[in-house]
Order: sequence, then structure tokens, then C-alpha cells
Amino acid sequence: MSQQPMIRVSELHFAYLRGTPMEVTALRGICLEVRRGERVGIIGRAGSGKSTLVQHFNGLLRPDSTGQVLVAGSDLGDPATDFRRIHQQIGLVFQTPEQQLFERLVGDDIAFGPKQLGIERPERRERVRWAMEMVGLDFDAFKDRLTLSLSGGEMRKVAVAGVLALRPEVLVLDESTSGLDPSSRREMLRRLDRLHHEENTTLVLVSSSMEEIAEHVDRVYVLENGSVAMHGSVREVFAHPEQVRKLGLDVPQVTAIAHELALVGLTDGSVPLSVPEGAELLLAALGLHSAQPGALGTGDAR
Amino acid sequence: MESIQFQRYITIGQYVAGRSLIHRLDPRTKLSAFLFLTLAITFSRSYTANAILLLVTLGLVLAARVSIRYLLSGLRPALPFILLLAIMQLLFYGNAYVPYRMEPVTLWRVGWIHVTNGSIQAVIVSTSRFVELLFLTSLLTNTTRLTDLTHGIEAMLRPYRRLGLPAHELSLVATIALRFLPLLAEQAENILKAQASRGAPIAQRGRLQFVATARQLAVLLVPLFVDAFRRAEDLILAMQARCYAGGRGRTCYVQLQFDRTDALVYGLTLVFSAAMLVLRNWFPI
Amino acid sequence: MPDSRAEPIVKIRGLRHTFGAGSVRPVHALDAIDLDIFQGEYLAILGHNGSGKSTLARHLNVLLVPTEGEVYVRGMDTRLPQNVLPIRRCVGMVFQVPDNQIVASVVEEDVAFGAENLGVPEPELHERVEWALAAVGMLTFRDREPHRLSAGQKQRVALAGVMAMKPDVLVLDEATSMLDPEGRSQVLSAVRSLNQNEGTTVVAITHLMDEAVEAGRVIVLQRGRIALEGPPHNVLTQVEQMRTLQLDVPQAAELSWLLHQREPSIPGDLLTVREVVEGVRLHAETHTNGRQQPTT
Repeated sequence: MSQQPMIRVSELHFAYLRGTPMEVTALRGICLEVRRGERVGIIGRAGSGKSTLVQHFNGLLRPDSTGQVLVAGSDLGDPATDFRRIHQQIGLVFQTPEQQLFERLVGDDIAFGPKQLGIERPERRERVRWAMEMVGLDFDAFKDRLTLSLSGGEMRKVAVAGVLALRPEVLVLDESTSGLDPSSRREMLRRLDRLHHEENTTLVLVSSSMEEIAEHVDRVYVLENGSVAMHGSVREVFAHPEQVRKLGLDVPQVTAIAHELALVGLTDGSVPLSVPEGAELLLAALGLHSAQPGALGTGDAR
Repeated sequence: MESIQFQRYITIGQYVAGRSLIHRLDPRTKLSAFLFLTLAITFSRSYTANAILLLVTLGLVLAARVSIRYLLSGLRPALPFILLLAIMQLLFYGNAYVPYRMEPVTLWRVGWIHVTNGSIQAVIVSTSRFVELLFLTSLLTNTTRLTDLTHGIEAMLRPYRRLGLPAHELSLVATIALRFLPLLAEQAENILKAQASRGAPIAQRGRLQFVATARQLAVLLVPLFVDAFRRAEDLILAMQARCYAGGRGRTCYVQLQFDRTDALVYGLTLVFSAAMLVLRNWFPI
Repeated sequence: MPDSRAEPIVKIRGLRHTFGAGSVRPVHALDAIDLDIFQGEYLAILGHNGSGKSTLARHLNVLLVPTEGEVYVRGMDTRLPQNVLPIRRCVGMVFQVPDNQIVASVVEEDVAFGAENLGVPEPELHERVEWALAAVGMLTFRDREPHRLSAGQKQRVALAGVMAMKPDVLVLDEATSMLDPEGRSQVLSAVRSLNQNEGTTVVAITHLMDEAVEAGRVIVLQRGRIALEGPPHNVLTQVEQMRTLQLDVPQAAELSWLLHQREPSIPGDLLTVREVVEGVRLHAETHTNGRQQPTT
């Protein structure tokens, strides 16, 4: 495993419409790192700069003279960098990615990315098949369907598959579960975990769901007004609910419950990130150990 | 790819907040004044008339307290065209222009190139007309919010409703178009970013290089149209839910006030433009 | 508190709705729904995508008419064309996508749009617009351009636009599902105050727990039928049932259920963070040192 971080951002500043009367600063001196194989979360209230930040990861936006963005060793501030390669290495899935669909047939739209990379037809087909399998769309059933005849959830899967087909090393997802109903959301997150596990794809998740962050990333950066206000492992960050709340966010309910109980001395202050973990913690605190660890069935009715 | 930020390049349509005399005028006054002055500008061929009109335009710019530099920057996108046109007029149209109050004099003739005092005058007059019109148009929208312009137009058309003109429906079309324009622009930007992220050959070094094939435009236009239609469908439902049923029986929240200052400005520009039109052939040069 | 003995403001009997009734593949979105909605209540209608909840909502303001069965709003039958406008005056709706409801480029002008359509006379128009904007906390934004607002702010503007029509019933069709948590809580807070202070009946279509816990009564739809009904405390804590219906429950409810399975003396139907914290504390106090104390 490479020691060099996959993405390193230093002192990144960015302003929209710089030099015009309508200039607005979006990022102020961001420093951030993503290592290969990690799962990193980026959270923050609306307007804190999350989308602006992640658009620097694949070179859509470029750093100005003060900041630096290094991706797999390449300096994105250097005009000579091969940006096509960067787009392939860092796959960016936008919010409501369905908006990018333009081909008539599903299979063609997913194949668009690989085609732009100059990949030949047989391999393209394989990539499309793999990408569709990854998102849960049956290749034969869906590849010749009309893109615009699909349901919203299916269209989103097609859009994500379109990015996966590039076989990126890092997958950046900007609020990709927003607007999905609970079961679709759970399915997408499960599939992302699978991708991470099978392909060692580095994941960067921008999300406004704290529960999602708690259960699907390892480290998290909290943005506020264009800067990094908090960062660390998820447990470290969620151990300070009051601070998180001041930044316009919250912690998962189970974490909040454990925190309240720790304040009155009932628990040891551990930070549970999921309901089963929370239940174990509380039962232990009440002197009631579960019969077998992990026997608290949450069932797999999901 | 540098950020695509469309707003940067366009001064027409941009409202610049302010409290100047011009800002505070009724939109109907400004629209009428704009029309009168445009007529005067269109029919003025002499150097004198254009000098007067240029001064009047600059006077209005000062009265509106809008920066001249800002207005000049709006010229930039059109500059290549202006220059091209000017050069062509200067060099090749010597015969076509009978100069105002002057005997046609050929200044230089080589092959197709035929420069006369007529063509020089044509260039100067055209350029100054263009600048005057651009400034006035920008000024109109810089000092009046587009929604106020639509209210103004609707108010001016309202008397014709009795003749069957759907004044409110038309102004609602304009209002909705204005409202959704920035949204569609933003959507276009998002779509381009998403496609570029997939490797589409869209933008290089801050300039959008639209390659002319329909295939490549499809990556932007198809999703944009789909998005626009989807928004339209949603909007129809929302308007139905809010009981929109055409202009009949509606009241109006925005009440325009036409006061003495408006009457004065209206009257002055009317008289001035009429004078310029009537006297257009009477100026010395 | 809504008086359930009074005449319901909305009466639905045997409602069926089929899309594409004569076509090759008709979709039976609603299947024999019977429902009464009472004045002043706050009702949440939950269901996974495709359960029919949005379809049901659109019958309330005659955006759809029944294929079979009847819907009465204030006694008016929705199938009669002459009732369409009066019913839409009475039932306002806020939709999911904030931008696609806003017609004008100035906030206060958009808020006035609906009331203008109703022919509300001038001075009252201004009063209503101010009142509506103040009720949602957006009065200082009255002369702003909507596209410069955050999603939560836009949605509040849309809400004000509906409230300026002074409807009896406010239907929220997944109105917070595209909002960030802060925006969501702003909108829900505005809706809560309209329900409590103005007595507006609220019908919230959602799959989000934050919205559902606000309600006084919750209905869960599955495949076009009502599967569960009751106060949030009864419905949202039925963890296994909700899972079968493809819905989440709040983490607090799930936690309470898990704890209850292992230790029955901890209530299994706690719904909120506060309740679970209290429940656990209480249990700890009455069961110190692992020995069960007699509870008083």
C-alpha cells in the first residue's frame, strides 16, 4: 500500500466569480488528506463548502496560487497535469446524478465514460456489466431499456454505474443518497461498502445524514464556513455532540443517548455508532450483559 | 478546466442595486424613454447628432450612478464583431454610403479596398450608435429589476385586455422565464461538470469550446431539456394547486407609482427624441 | 386538540385509484382507502416509494380524481368540476422540489401569487403576504431573489405562498425530503406553529422519521392500503412491522425495542432520545447494584 496519501489538500482557498462585484468566498485555507483504501466523510451545514471542496478532487476546480491539491502525486495546480487521467482516477458522483443521463439506452449511457477513455468495445461491455452488477441492475434486463423510462431510483443507479464504469480508484459521492427512501438508501450504502471491500476503492462521502456517516466512514471532516472546524475518526468527532451541534449538525440518536447517559455517570463515555453497539453499551452499563455478545438480533429483515 | 461562471461576462440583464434618480423611476417611464431614445439613435446619421446622443447617454449613466467601467466591460464579448464589422465597413463599403452633408471623397483605393469619407463616417456613426444602444440597454436592466420591467410591460398592455390581449398570461410567461433562467444556467453548469467528470471533452482552460457536432452537444442539451420539462410539469401542478386560472379576476400585489418625476422624465425624453428625429437632416455635419 | 366527534374536514370512502385503467399494464396505486381527517389535526402518511402516499395526497386537492370511491372536502365531492376551485382554496399543497413551485423572481411577489389568483383585494393582499412571511420566519427576505436562498428558505417561501391563501388544510408532499437537516427543522418548526397557533390541519406525506414524530396521528400505507394507523408512539415503535413495510424507525425507538427484548422492565415503545435517556435512568435508579428494588 502506498504511503503517499491518495488526495492531499493544503491551504486551499476558493472564491466564486473572483474579481467581480459578486465575488463569494467558498473555501478558506482547507487542509485535508485521504489515504488509499480509506472511507472518509465530509459533513457540514448547507453552504459550508462541501461541494466546492470535492470538485477540487478531480480537477473540475483548480487551486489558485496559495493552495495545493495533490492527487496520487500529481499536482492539480500544474497546467501540464493529465486531467483526463485524474478524471478517471477520481470518480465524482454529483448530487442528483440522474441529471447527467443523456443517452437513449441505459447501456450506452453507462458506456459513455469508458468510451471517452478510448476503451474498446469488448472491454467496454465488460465494464458496463460489472458496473451494473455493482449497483444492482440486471445487465440483460436493463441495458436496452430507455433511460428516461426508469424510476428515479433506477436512474440514479444508472448514473452511479456510469461513474463506476471508469473504474476509479477513489469514488467521491456528493449527497448521493439524498431523496432516496430508506430501503433504497440502505441498499446503496451496502453496495458502496461492498465496492470498498472487494475493490479497495477509496470512498469519500459527502452527506447530511449523521447515521450514514457513523456507520459507513472511518474518518470525518466537519466544514464550517469554508474551513475545517473538526476532524478525526468518527468516534472522536461524535464524542463532542455540543460542538457538532454548534456547527449546525447533530450526532446519531444512539450516540446522543449514550452521551446524555455518560453525563450522569451511567456509561463509561464510549461512543456507540450504531444501534446494536448502543444496546450492548447500555446493557453493560445497567449490569445486564447480553447472553452472547452480538446476540441482540436486529434481524436481517433489511 | 476553469470554473464555468457564465454570470461574469454579461452586463445586460444584471441588476445593480442602487437608489439613484434613475433607479427610482417607474419602469414604464424607463421603458418608454428607452424606446424614444432608441428611435432617435437609429435615425441619426450626423456627427453632431451622435455627439449629442452620446453625451445624453453618458449623462444618464452618471445619473444612474452605474460605473462606466462596468458598462465598458459588457462590450468585451462583442468586441471582435464590432472590430470586424468596422474594418469591413471602412475598407469595402466606400461606395455604399453617401456621407451626411459632405461631397463623397475617395481617400484611398486599391483593388477591392475603397475608403471614402463616407465609409469613415459610417464606421464612426455605427460604432457610436452601438455603444449608445448597448449602454442604454444595460442601463435599463441595471437600474430596473427584470420583474419590475415585466410589471411595467404588463401595466402598459393592460388597457388592451379589452381587445383580447392576454396581458397577464404574457407577462407571466416572461416572469417564469426570468425566474427559471438562472436555474437553468446553474443546471447547465452542473450537467457540464458531471459530463466533464466522466471524461466528456467539454471545456479547456476556462473557455467553453463547443465542438459543433450534434452528438457532442447532446451531452448538455438532452439532460437540460429533460430537466426543463420536468420543472415545467412540476410548476404546472403547483400553479393549479394555487388556483391559477388566467388573468381574469386576478388582483395585483405590485402597484406601480407614476409620479411627477416620472412625468417629467417621460415628457423630456419624448420631446428630445422627437426633436432629434424631426431635425435629423438639419445638423451641420 | 381535534375533536374526533365533529364532522371530519376530509372524508374518504372506498377510494381506489388506477393509473392507465384501460391500458396494457394498469397500476393500482390505491386500493379501497377509508379515511377521515379532522380539523386541526396533524396527520402523517408514511409509506415506501410506490405505496401510494403521493397519489393519496393529490386526491385532497383534486389534482387527481378517484377511479372508484369518493373524496369529500368540507362536504364537497371532488368529482364535481364546479368544486375544484373551492376545494383548492381550502386545501393548499407544498411540493417536494422547492424551486419548481416558485413562480416569481421576488419572494413577496411569489407569496402573493396564490392570493392574487383568488382575487383578494389590494390592501388585504399586503397584509396576508406580510402575515404569511412572518409566520414562516422569512419576513426580512421579502425583497430577495428566490434563487439566492437556501433550499430550506425556498421551501418556507413556498409554504408562505400557500398560507397566504388561508387554506384550512395544508398538505406537505414530501416537502422536506430534499432539504438538509437545518432546513428541514426550520420548515417543520414553521408547520408546527401553523398547526398549533392557527389551527391549520396538516397532512404530511413522508418517509422521514423527523416529520412523522411531529404528528398526532400516523398512517402507514403499503401497496395502496392502510397497513398501520395510530399515534406515533404506537406506530413508529413497531420495529419489526415497520421493517416489513420497508420503513425505518427512529434509532431511539429501535434501541428501546432492543433493550426491551433483553430486559422487559425497560419499556419497548420509547420514541425519542429524551424518552430513552429517561427510561434507562429510571431503570438504573430502581435496579441499583444488580438487585431488583421494589418499585413504588
